[in-house]
Amino acid sequence: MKSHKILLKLSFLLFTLGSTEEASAKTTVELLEKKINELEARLARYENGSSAKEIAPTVSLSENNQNTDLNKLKTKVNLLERKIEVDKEVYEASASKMPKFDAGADGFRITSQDGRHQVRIRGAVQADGRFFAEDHGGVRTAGVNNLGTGSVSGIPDQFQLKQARVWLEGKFFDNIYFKIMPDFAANNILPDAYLDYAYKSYAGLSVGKQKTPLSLERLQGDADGMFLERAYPTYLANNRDVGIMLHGEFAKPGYKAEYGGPVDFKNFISYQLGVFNGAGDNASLDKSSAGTFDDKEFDGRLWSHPFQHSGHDWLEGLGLGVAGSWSRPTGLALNKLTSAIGSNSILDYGFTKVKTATVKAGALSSPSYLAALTGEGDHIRIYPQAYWYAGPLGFMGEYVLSEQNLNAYSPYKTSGKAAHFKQKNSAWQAQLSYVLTGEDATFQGVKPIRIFNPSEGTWGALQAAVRFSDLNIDPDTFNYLDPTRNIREAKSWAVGLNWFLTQNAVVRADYEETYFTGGDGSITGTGTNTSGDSFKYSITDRTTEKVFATRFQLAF
Amino acid sequence: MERKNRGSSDIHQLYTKRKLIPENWQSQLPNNSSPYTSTMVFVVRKGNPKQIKNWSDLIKPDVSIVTPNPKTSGGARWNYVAAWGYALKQNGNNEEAAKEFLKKLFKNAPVLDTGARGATTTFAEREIGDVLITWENEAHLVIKEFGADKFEVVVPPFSVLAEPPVTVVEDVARKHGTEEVSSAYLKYLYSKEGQELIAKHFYRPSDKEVAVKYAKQFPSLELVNIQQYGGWDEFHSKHFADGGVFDKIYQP
Repeated sequence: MKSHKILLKLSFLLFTLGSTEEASAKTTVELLEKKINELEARLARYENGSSAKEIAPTVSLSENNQNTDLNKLKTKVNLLERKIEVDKEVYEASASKMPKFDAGADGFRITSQDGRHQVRIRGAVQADGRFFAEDHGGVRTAGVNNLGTGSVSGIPDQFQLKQARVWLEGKFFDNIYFKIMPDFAANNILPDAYLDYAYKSYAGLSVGKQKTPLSLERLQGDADGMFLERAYPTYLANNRDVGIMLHGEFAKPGYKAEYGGPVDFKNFISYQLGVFNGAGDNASLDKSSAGTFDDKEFDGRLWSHPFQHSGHDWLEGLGLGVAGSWSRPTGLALNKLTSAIGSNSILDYGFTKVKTATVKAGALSSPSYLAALTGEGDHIRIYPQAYWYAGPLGFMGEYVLSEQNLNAYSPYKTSGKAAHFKQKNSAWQAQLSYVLTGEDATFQGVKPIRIFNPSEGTWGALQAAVRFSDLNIDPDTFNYLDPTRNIREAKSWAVGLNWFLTQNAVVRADYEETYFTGGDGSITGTGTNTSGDSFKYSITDRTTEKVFATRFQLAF
Repeated sequence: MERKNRGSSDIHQLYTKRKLIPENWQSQLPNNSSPYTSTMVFVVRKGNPKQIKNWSDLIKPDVSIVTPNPKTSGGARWNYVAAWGYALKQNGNNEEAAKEFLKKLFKNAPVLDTGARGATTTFAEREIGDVLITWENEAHLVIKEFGADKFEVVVPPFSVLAEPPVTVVEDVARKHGTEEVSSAYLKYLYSKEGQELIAKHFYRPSDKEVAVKYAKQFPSLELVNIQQYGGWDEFHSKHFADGGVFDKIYQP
């Protein structure tokens, strides 16, 4: 029986050692196996009824020697077993200190064993195509839709690499989060770079370059929107800015708040209060840009999911909020505004009126423009905003009223004399979406239940969306800006289809028409009155922009 | 006399690394804050077939010893210090000779467990080795658990003095509201009742009266102190840090 036990142990040992691939152990086992075979042969003879006498002549070991051998063998087996156990303990102890590597749809992740430290590698690529209809074709300057009456120039169709981002994000010591995100497809190559010390869920501090807490659609992930480009309210907010922001999240009583980043969309109530350089509308400071004036921009936002954990499924995904900002820039250069999906310039603060003297001289063939308008004084924005996601249905809407004080140069007065006026702009947008394949629509995009795999007969998820958006520019602006080259109002409607092949890969197709008020025409007057508006502009509406755009996007 | 870090580098790190305890923490309770002492002894198989009585017996070619790995086990480090002290004493403080002694010692260790409890398992349950080097209280537990008919304790004439210290980490205790009960517990360890319990569990009591009462249980022997080798910090970095003496003398 002893032999049987030892044999069993050895079998186990052989199996275990085979996996460890330790050459020395194998050699030992081979020797032991040889001995076991000898002993097994002896045992078999006993079991077959052979007497000791019969077999004695064939066996070289005495009974005592046999017992000694068995004891030695047993000790060796015990020792080898124990070594394997100890090795396993050592391996498990060292493995318990090893970081965890994880690769999946959310990118690549390295996490310390205790979970307190983590670095993630993420990325996104967006490759677009934009095709303009009824624009007479042609090769006009890209990004400018200022087709003049009688002009036959068009807007070039184009392929565009919109984003090429690889970024690091993660945390150290549980609650010091960070994100460093360069974009190799953009001129301003560092959209995000910040640290976020989320000391408590109700009080965290993010420092660096980040999204300002204003426009709801801007705060949505760049890869999560329903259309290729955001709508007009977004353009009246900063794109990114450098500064410091206090933020916090609160869970509904009885629940625990979870970290949602500097701008949270997970919890019952969240707030952000930030101080930034003040980049201005639709602007993102370069990574090295410092503020150009002492007075900074103050931003605040309050957001809530009032029906979270209410038990009313259809209202759980309702979010309501309001955001606002105040700043007092000095000599702030103003970024131009563009049409939404077409991304063509529609309001450029550098396209001012021509100097009166130039008009008098009749030198319109090479007009001399006044200096660009600049931000000078109080700038206030207010953004009521909401979204609602219920099953496959999604809605998002926001409105913005923006009042800013600008410096300009009047064409009617002595050259170089500044004028000052308050510009009141507004914009709104509303978008509705429905996931035709039944998945849930969320602010963070759509996760297909069945990913695209034609051989299995699965096709991913399909979402349809429609959007209306409007931008109104204060009419007083056109006392200083060239009304023939800048629009007063843009109204857009768009439809879109988003085909989620996987949660990472999306093919988008949008069609948008934008109707303009003003922004086209020519100067016809040659008046000489320097104190009034005797100039006559023949202002017509800019040609409707019709664009069909596609995107292939991979984000992880 | 410098008394810092006499018994435990672990506790002292609470001061050196985080200042969680005062620098003089070891003078806040009697006997360097050690309510009891202990030492390292041998457990051999019944009848002591290899006639193991002293450290020099452990390096004989036919002797197989069981001790945990000093890189991972606190108890094994005490074993190591005792052997180191013995070897130095036998060789006129010649460190090279001491290293050679330890090299032979660990050559006789077929397996190094990660901790003292594992080493007991190896020796008592797996029947590996001729001698187990372990804590004195652990040695008596082996006898109690596995039977006096199988094993016996051998107290060598030379070993190491271990003074396990205690202290209250006041900041932590205050945070948990356990400051009072923690202090009371430590004081209890020094009481007659506490010392009796300590002795019954085979730790050497610091109270002289209780020590006399249990004198038969604890044979007297020559004890070396870790302070003689510069304290735990110095000894650890010299012997157990990566590339230290142990890494040089031990080849698995």
